[in-house]
Formats: sequence, C-alpha cells, structure tokens
Amino acid sequence: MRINHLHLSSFRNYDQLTLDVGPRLNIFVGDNAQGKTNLLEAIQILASTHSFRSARDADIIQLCQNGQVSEMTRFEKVAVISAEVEREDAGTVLMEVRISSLGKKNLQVNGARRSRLSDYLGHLTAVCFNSFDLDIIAGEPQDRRRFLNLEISQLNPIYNHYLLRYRRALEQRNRLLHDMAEYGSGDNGLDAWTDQIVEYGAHLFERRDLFVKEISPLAQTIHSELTNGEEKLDIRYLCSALQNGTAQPTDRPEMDWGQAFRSDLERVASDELRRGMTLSGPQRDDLSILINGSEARVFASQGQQRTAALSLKMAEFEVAMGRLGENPVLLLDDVLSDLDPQRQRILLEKTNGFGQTFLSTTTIKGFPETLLEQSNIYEVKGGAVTQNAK
Amino acid sequence: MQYTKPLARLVSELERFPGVGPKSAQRMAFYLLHASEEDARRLAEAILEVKERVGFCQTCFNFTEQPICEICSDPRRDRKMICVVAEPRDLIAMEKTNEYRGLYHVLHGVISPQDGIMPEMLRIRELLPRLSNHEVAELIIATNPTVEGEATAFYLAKLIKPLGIKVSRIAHGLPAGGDLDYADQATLISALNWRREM
Repeated sequence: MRINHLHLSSFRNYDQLTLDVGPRLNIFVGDNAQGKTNLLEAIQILASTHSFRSARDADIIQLCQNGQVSEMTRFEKVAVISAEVEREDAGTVLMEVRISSLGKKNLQVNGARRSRLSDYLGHLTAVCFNSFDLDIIAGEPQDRRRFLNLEISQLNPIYNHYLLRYRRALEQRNRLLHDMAEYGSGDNGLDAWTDQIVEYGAHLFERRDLFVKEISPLAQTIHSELTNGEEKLDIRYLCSALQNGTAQPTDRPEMDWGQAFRSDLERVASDELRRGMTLSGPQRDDLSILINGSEARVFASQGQQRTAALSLKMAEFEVAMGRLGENPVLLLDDVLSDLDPQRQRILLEKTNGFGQTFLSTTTIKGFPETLLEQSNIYEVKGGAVTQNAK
Repeated sequence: MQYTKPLARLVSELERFPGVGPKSAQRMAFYLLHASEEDARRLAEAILEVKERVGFCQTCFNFTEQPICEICSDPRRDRKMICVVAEPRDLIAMEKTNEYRGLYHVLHGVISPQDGIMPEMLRIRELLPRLSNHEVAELIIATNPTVEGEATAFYLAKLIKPLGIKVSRIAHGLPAGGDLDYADQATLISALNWRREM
C-alpha cells in the first residue's frame, strides 16, 4: 500500500499543506523543530488514529498562526489529516481524520463517516520507528512487555481481549491477597481467581512465546546484515512461569502453558500470602536481548542498542508484511543519528526494498547517490515543505 | 441561586438512584413539583408499598410478596434443576424465555474483592441446604461471562461438585440469528471454544 497525496490543515505547525509523495523513499530534511516529525506523526494518526507521542488528541491542533494566538482558538477548532491511499487489493481510498479541540475524532473513508474504529482501521497500516524504540533494548522490563503487548495485539487483536481480562482478574486477585496478608481474612475464594488468571495468562504466555519464536530468527538475520556479520543478536523470551527469570530455550513444541503457570503459582503460594500480591505471571515477563552473548541493555553501546532496536522493529515489519500480504507504510523518525555511516547505508538500502518509506533526518550527507536518485527529497522549514528538484 | 430547602432535599434523594446524576435528579424533581398532588401521592405510596410488602423468597431469594415466591411454590416447576443467577433482573430475563421450567437461586451479586464483595456476602450459604435433599440433579450457573461472573461460577462449581450434583455453565458465543461477520473476535473465539459435536 502507498500514499499518493497527503493533506494537512491546522495540524501542529502546519496551517495548510498538500503534498504529493513518491512511491518509494521520501526524505524530509530540515533542522530541529521545523515540523519533520509532525509529517510522520500525521501519517501514523491516519493509519492508527493515535499519535506516537501525544496522549491528548487536542494537543495536535495548531493553536498559533504567525506567532499570534488565533482568533479561532476561542471556538472549536479542527485539525484535518487526509490522504489518498492506493492499495493492491482495493484500489484507491480516501482516508480522513478530523480531530477537534474538544477532543472529538471523526473518521472517514471515501467521504463516508465510520463510527466504529474497527470499520476504519485496516485501510492503511503504518509501522513507525522512532527514538522510543530504544527503550525496548535499554529500558525496563515493562518497556519490553509494552512492546510485546502492542505488537502482538496488532497482529492478533484477540490478544488484547485476553490482556484486558487478565489484568482485571489480576487486580481482583491482588486485592484479595492484599486483604488476606493485611487483615488475615480467610481464603475467600482465592482458587477462583487463580483459575481466572491461569486461563487468560496461559493465552498471553503462549502468544508471547510464539511471537518471540517468529521474530527472533528474522531479527537475527537483519541484525547480521546491518552489522556486516559482526554481531549476533539473540532474543529470548523470559517467561515468568518458567523458573522465574532464568533464560529458557524458545523451542518448546507442546507446552501446556496453563499447567506451567499453575505449578509456578503453587511454588510461590506461601510467598504470595506473606507479601499480599501475585508473584508469577505475564506481568513479570521479560525479554533477554543479547549481542554476541552479552546482555545488550547493560553492555551494548548506544549505537549497538539502536541497531538492535532497528533489527527488532524491522523483523516485526516483515512479520506484519507477511500477514497483510502487502507492504505497510514505513515511518523512520530520525533513527539514523546514532548509526555510523556504514550502518546508515545498509539500513537505507534495506528499507528501500520495503516499499513506501517516509524518513526524517537533519542531513542527507553520506546518503548513497543511487538511493537519492530514486527518492523524493523535501526540505522542511518552519511548517513549509518544498520538494527539491531532481 | 440555591434550591429552596424541601426541593434541595428531594433532588439529593433522587441523586442517590443508580444512573441518575444531578441534572436528571433536577429534572425529576421539577416534574414532581409540576405534577398533581394525587400523582405525587401515588408515587410515594408505591415506594412505601414496595418496601413494606416485598421481601426475599426464603428459598431462592428472588423478590416476592409471599414468604415463598410463586416460582418456588409452583408444583409444575421441575425441582431437579436450579439455575443460579447474580441478580433478580437476570431471573426475569430467563423467565421471559418461557422455556426454562426449573427453579432459581439469586446470589445478589458476584464475587469482587475490589468492591469488597466476598463469597460469604452472597446468598451462597443459603444455596447449600437446598442441595442436600437429593432432589436436585443439576445446578446451572448463569452468571454473566465477565471476569467476576466467571470467578463466581468457578467458586460455586468447586464448592458444589463434591456433593455429587451435576454443575453446568450456560454457553456463550454467537447471538441467535446473528451474522458471523458482525461478531467481534472475542465472541467468535468463545463460540469456537464452546462448539458442540453434531
């Protein structure tokens, strides 16, 4: 799939913008704070209806024009993102997201309003790489769990259903354990809650294990390409139900996750009663990410961590591509800055084969000439975008 | 500007109703002010009457005017089956089907530690003696398929199965007459899991 035209109105620092974009690599060049990321963000919102950087929808609405507070700010103001999207299977569709300063969102496909999110999603899929990806490697276990949850629910929407039910049952069980530890209240149906978390938790374990199995060889191959064969990337799923944190080989063909979870809960049962909380389960999972056998979180350099994050995300991109049957749109938000020229070149050449890509960067110095010839280059300055002549 | 005292009192009483906020309470209060005295008296009497005359059935804990409710005392009902529901309104929904001919037991809630609702606060203790006379062959658990409803079902099953009574859970899945392509994924998967052999 690809975008032909992008139109923005009152979005971030763009007043009005209509942009014809190319089918392959589109490069947005400019200094900091000129609006490069805003363009990628707009495409991300169009695809998923959510921004990768703002929790509040109303934040994305342009409030200032020419440095002056707009008269319009006193009334409801609406940011509009729209694009013509070309798909292999469905031809051209016109997609539009309107977000009002009152926080209302209006989604349209071919001019018809879609009130259900599930009727809107799926026309445009975008995968975004940005600086937050580094947290998958360098951050806390919860960052890696968030990565797992986000990516797996995109591929398997039912995962999210199990996740929500698991969290609900876990909260209830924790509350009961807390009361039992704090007030010495008796066993008020703890088994019933154990049964609930085992039922939903087993699904989460199983799908996380499958996802890591699917993504880890792909990421290893990509990482090896990005590093010219110098680094070997290993991703292992540290399932909390299996010995609480010890690295496990990911080849378990006929695993009974429910049974494994149940017996691990039995192992920690007396501790749980003493501490008043659940001590095993998907909420304590982690990933072990190794570069040449060493834990990347601790021992890898910033550039190595960045490369590993890119390898992971590109592996995820390939998995998504396999499921969709066509290329998602790729968004690369300032991901080159920590990479040495060679890794930059390999990354660019690799993504060039992925279909339509949007990339933001402060400079195109060092980009391969052959690549630049095939690309559309845009200069972004103060909310204005001009295409460089080829 | 504040309400005059009796009006303020009425608004704050009405606000305590479930699902009623300040705006709705105000609208109801003004409706009552405009209503005839006879209308207002009828409402007040209905409220008092329901409190004076309606209580729990001593057997199934449905609301009733009698010590034993109409269903429990109906000789035509099948005494081999008891359907356990969380709320009286669930019983009414089941009754509307005109299909189920067994008895009921109303728990008045589901287990939820976060809301401070523990098993002993539900009408579970009162269910057990009903099962000890060897008349009941099957207990059908019809709590909602929420996390709390499922936990309550599991708790009951574990408690009652050792008594040698068949315990079953109502199925969940596609609505009758529903289209596959309109069902959400969770419903479809649940329908798959609860499939039956033909």
